[in-house]
Amino acid sequence: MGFLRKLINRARVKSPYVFHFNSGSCNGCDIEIIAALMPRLDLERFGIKLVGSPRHADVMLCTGPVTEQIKPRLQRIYEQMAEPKFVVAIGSCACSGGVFRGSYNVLGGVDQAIPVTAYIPGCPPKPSAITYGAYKLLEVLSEQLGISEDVAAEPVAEEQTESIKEAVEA
Amino acid sequence: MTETESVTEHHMAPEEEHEEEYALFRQVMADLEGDVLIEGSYVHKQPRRLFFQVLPDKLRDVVQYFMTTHDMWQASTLSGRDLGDDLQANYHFFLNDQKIAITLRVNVPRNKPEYSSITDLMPAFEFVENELRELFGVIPVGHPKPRRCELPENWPKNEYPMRKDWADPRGLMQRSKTTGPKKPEEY
Amino acid sequence: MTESDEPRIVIPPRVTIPIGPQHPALKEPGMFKLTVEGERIIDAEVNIGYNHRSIEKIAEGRTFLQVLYLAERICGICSATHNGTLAQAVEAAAEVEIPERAKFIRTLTWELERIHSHILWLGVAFHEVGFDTAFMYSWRDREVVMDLLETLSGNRVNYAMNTIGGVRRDVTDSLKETLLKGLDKLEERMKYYRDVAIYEKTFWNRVDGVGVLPNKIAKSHGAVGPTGRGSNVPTDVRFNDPTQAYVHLRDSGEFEMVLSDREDVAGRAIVRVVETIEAVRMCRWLLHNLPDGPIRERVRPRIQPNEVLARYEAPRGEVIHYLVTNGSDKPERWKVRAPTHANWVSMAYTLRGGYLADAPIILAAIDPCFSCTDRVVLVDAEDETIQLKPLDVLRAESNKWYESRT
Ligand code: SF4
Repeated sequence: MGFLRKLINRARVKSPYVFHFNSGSCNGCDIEIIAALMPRLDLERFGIKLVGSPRHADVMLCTGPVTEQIKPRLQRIYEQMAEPKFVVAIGSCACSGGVFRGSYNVLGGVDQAIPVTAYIPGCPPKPSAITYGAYKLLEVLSEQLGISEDVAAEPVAEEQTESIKEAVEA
Repeated sequence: MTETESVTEHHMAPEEEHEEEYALFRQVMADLEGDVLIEGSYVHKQPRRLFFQVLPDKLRDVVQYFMTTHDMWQASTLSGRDLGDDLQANYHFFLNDQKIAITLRVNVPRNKPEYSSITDLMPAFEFVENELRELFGVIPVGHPKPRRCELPENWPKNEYPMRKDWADPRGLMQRSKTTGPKKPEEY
Repeated sequence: MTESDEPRIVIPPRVTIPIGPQHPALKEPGMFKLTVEGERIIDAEVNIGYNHRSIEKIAEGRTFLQVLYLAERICGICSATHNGTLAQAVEAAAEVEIPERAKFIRTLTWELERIHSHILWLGVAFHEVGFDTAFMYSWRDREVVMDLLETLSGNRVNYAMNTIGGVRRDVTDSLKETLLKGLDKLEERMKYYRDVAIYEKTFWNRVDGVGVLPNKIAKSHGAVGPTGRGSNVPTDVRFNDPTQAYVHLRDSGEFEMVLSDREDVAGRAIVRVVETIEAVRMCRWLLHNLPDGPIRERVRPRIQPNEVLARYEAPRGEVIHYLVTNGSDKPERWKVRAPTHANWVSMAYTLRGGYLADAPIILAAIDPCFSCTDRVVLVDAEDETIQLKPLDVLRAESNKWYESRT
């Protein structure tokens, strides 16, 4: 592996750009993603940045079961992303269809339309769970891209979250 | 699925506690004699709820009557119902002066489910009338902008999923009960 | 339809810009087709249905208790709304009167939810006009109310507080203290945001006179919630058709419907901010007057044949559940009308005649939910070149356009 490639892969792990796509979700997961990016749990400190276009993104965060109408759009957007690309399914719906299993217009989880790298279950997962999932994803990424060292980021410890909470409340 | 068609004793409200509602009910019944059927029109036990059964071809007249006489401008929604032989369209409104929610409903026969649209009187019904046409196959004739709104583009023409006898011919309701991701070559 | 509703005939070049279709809204994500002439929008069309999950059909195969949890997942932002309204409908159909304390706790959850939803909207509105500092601030303070909801119900988004016949969790004395303390903090912050929204020129200049929806049109096009009240339409189910503890709130005479006669986006913003402060006061009143007693009534799973129309004022407007029961433990027909559905019609009107640069804030003003990932496709009418344009680029361009104008 050339030096340049190594550098690029390293940058990918250190600062993945994420893109958020709603494939028919109820919004619960979407607001929790935004909450995870907001001041309290600040995902940006891991270098994760939300971008508005699939062409700029490395990782797509998918929420919601895939409805019939959204499926072609989801696939088209997936094609528009540049390689290497990763998909994270956020929420029970995106993982398996959740409460909407058995509906005539729903295909099930996101993995019925496009390949998924990581699943974050929960209805909706708490922002801290999303943070943890993102951290896990970074681990997987570094493995896949051949970067052996530890990712710089540590998951937020329970006490830390508590202390942040107290600080905000005070 | 038989007892819901007729008005049961649970619906009817005692007259003493619902004076305002009964006053309006009587006035409407007197004014609209012939357009509104006594069968199926009643004062509900819930406070401030009236239901009127309207003849399908008189719906526009009745709506116009309410708009002029009772200053009705708040259109709430439209819900469809499958009664077996008939299909039903329920128009829900709210009268802000009397603070009473009224429901005007029309029954149309299943083999010819048509009545005239009221979207031109109240633009608020544009989307819900389209929805009714798609999901129940009840056609509001004269709708200014008929178009697809809820169902996928490839949905077959004469299948209406919300009807009780829609039997799911393509196994769509089982499709989402999956047990794992697809294999890479299937995408 | 009135004359002004008709799209005007224009000289080419006319460009159609579809926004969406992926628009993360509640039950109705939409695609907006804007036809522009230069900077002016001359026609707007809304396409919905991308998020159709056929909830009403699934519900016919589930029991009332299961449908209760399904209802919660119609919309994650108004989860308590749909959950509580359905519980209310089932109780009315079964003719059960729930205990007073349960009514108060139910109303408390609703009002806390209103606070969280309105602060969320405020943040999004700040973001849409390019005022990101206030966006971050308001979302930080939103966490305060999220924590209150979490301590009250055990969950951040889908609270599952209501059940058929009452509520599932009680408010203890220590919880009451926590809630009151949190509410004080919220009130202080909300007063600050009210001043920011009214006196801060960065925000005000972008919303003043934008997206005008005249009172008459708002009425005939069925605008509900803050969209309607911002145009001086007195629709508020909490005062017009009160249920639960709203009856006491109305009778106490301390609270009034918030109306604004500005008829533009600024009016809608003011209505929402003032309403949040009112909601904080309502929560405090409810906590101080919380009656004693049980929180739950037993209801038999089979509900007698009946038909019910349950209404409630969600943060975005009037929610209607029309429920028909048939004597079994499953609904015969359950129709849900979410407020955004009612607001599409009037929104198409508001977009007409506005500037393209104002489109993001006008779309956001009815609070369709987030529009953080939308992309815009520019289709030139003549040569059909398709250009992908994310909404945030459009937003940045619109901010630039405003800068260059002043
Ligand atoms: S997992 Fe839950 S919160 Fe997330 S989209 Fe599905 S129903 Fe909504």
